[in-house]
Amino acid sequence: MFNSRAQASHSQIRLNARAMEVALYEARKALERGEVPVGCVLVTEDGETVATGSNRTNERGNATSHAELVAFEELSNVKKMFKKGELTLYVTCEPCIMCTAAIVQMEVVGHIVYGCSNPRFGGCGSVRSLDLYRGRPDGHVPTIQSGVEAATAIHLLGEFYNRTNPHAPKPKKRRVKR
Amino acid sequence: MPHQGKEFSDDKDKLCLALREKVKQVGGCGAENGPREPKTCSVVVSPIQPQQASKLVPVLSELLPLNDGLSHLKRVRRVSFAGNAASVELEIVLCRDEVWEHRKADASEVLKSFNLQLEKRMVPATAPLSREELRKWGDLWPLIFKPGKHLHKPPSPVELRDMYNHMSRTTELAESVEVPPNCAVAAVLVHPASGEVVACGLDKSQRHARVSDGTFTVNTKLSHAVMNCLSSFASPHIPTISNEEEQKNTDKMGKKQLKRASCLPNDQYLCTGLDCYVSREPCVMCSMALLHSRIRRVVFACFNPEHVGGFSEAKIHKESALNHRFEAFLVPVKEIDSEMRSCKT
Repeated sequence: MFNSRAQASHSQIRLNARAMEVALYEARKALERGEVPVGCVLVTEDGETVATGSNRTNERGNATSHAELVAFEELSNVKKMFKKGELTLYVTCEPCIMCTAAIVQMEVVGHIVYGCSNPRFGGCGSVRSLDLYRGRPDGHVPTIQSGVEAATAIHLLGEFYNRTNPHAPKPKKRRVKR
Repeated sequence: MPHQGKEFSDDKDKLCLALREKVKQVGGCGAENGPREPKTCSVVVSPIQPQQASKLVPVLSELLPLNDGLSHLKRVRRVSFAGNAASVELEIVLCRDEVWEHRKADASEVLKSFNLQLEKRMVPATAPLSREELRKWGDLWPLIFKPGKHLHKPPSPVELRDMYNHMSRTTELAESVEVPPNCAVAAVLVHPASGEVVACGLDKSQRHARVSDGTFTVNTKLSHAVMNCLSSFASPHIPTISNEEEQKNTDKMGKKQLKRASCLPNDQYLCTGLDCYVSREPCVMCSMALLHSRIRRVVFACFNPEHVGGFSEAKIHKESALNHRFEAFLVPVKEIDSEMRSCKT
């Protein structure tokens, strides 16, 4: 009994690592395009990839084109019906509040696995938590697992922020306090 | 005719009054809709002679600084006695009650020479956020008020009327295009200075079309009015480093023209400085999308009991942990209209 459970969790770890590898690959692609490097992948229970996405905010000039929403766009082209909570979402960085709300409303994601947490925008515990959506007739609140390949995700983000973002507006001058 | 003109201006006044009464700022710090009752906490104070103050204040700011959330308190206050106006006595605040319990031993050693008689006093626990609150709470203890990012400026009558006009147009748009299973929701982006509508979006989520067997199509679920509006405004024309040169060339040839409305500056970054009008309160996803787009102000006509409200419940527009804060207003167009109608008859 103990053995089989250990094996199951072992295969789960392998699946996590493999899926997160795909998400990180997507993030690297975003970095090459000059975007904030975040990537994600939607995976079925059998480990089959149904959609991938990476950040395209600068490319589209649209602040809502986060990796998760890009993946959901791709998912909408998949000619297939999904059950509630059937898919697992692997993201390199904690989904922001917008993406978390989108995940809850989409209802197809039953489990979120993410790398590093996002203290600036995070909607899975950092700035807002999933408790916001509990006890509602609509939506499906997924379970969370964090810290998978967090170091790699942070390293990628660090690589981006070491460069300057050519799209960011010029910061306003701050009044010097005496 | 003079008579007609008078009636017209009467109508305007009535609208103005109705707007001032009905339009509410949503969420926020709490001081928008009049001064709040002060929350109080207990501090240790002592009466002192006026001559002592100049020596004692520097000692106390070194020993017991009021930086534990009491920086809005003035250190000293004047106590006047009704019987004897000539004799001025001061009262000085030392620290929080519970801090005094910890620091009693070492602090009383230093303060021995001042011969203090300690008392407890209730003072406002938070900084006042408006001048009304400063006035009202100041009876408990004199306070420092910093008008700044928290200061609430109510919209001017002109702004209110603009908000009402845009909002009623947006509601009309929403109602005119309702296609069941979609909801009658419309979102409009407005450039506030010129009043020009720069983008609009309708709800295409088909959220009332449910499939009974437990599975559902996912392709339209996130197609909310605000999201559609934002993506229709999004411009892929922002020059990136790689195609900046290409951009220059095409500009010269005049082939590729920016599809921006004329009122917007060339270096428009996302939705900076724009207002969004939605016929119903945006959900959390849409509210956060507006925040990501750096919107200036969001106005909506009614709350949405079906969804978690992004402003009324999640309050993300005033969250200090996020990188952008903006105003949200409720302009109940229907109520205002019916009030106007009942006034006329």
